[in-house]
Amino acid sequence: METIAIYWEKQVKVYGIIVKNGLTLVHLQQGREDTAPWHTLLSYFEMYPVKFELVTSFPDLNSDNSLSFILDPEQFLIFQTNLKAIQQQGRPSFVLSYKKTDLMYLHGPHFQERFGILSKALEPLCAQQIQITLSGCAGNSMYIVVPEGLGKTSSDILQRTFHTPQSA
Amino acid sequence: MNHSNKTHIGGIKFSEERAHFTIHCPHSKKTNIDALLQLISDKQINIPFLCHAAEPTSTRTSFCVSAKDAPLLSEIITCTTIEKGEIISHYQVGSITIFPHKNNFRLIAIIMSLMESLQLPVYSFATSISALIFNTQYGQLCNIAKQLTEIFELPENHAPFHPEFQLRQPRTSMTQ
Repeated sequence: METIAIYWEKQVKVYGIIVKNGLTLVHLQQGREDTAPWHTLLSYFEMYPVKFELVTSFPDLNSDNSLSFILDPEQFLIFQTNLKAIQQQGRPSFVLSYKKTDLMYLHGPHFQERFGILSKALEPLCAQQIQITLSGCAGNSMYIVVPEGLGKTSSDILQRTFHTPQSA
Repeated sequence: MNHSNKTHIGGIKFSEERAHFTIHCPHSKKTNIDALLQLISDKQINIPFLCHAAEPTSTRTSFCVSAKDAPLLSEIITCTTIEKGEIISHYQVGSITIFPHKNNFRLIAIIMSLMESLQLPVYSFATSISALIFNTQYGQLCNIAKQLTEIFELPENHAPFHPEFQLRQPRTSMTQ
């Protein structure tokens, strides 16, 4: 049975836009010579836990396993301490890189079932030459990572783009 | 009191059939992620999953569209400057949502371990505010469901993994 409901909004509504500044993007790439299963690598993070803000994993053209995650300053310190413990175990040969970033995230009703939402969010940022360092959009959440110092400008742009509870 | 050794989770949800694309756009090329998303939006195609990263010489983007939109998406791509070697396409893809992740790597490690033991691919994954969403072969969802119920304890009143209804935004004849 099909039920049709008509809903129209002048401006796309979101439940709010959260900004977090001074975070670290950790990018981890499994070395080509490392044949250990990917989950073994992940199990180190299970043994030495940190609380992440966002995790993404998607392929490079060369198909190496890679993982990107965002940590706040406190968790990044814990991660660095954990890393020493992991490395003392002679593992692993992954390549790590870090980048200081700001993070914004927003959620909206039925984001995953509506077209054009992503474009609406990214277009005004790209128009202002703001680089999207990392983005993960799944379910009804949208996470956008920008270079450190650009979080405020970026969130101001998104506040103008979307209808937030504050702008009601 | 529950004496099960299974990991307690809040729920599991499967998607409809999807297609998964990974695209590398060199910075030197005219087509960037913004332009591509605009083209996809103009054709009123929904993107239920996306990961994107900017790298020194290019951008890397993985995303899903509904299986029925895949031919239209392929048409869009042929109209851009994106070349064949810059795209990895997977068809018959299903997204699995598991929650909550509680912001730690435990759930991710469990899932990756399971998928490796089943020798099934994980094309990509990302976290939302509370869930882990990963993409794999659509045809294996029933098999994966069986395995997931072996390792996870679900609430008694859990809804079926496959959605019982689907929300759909109809296409209009005019783009906004």
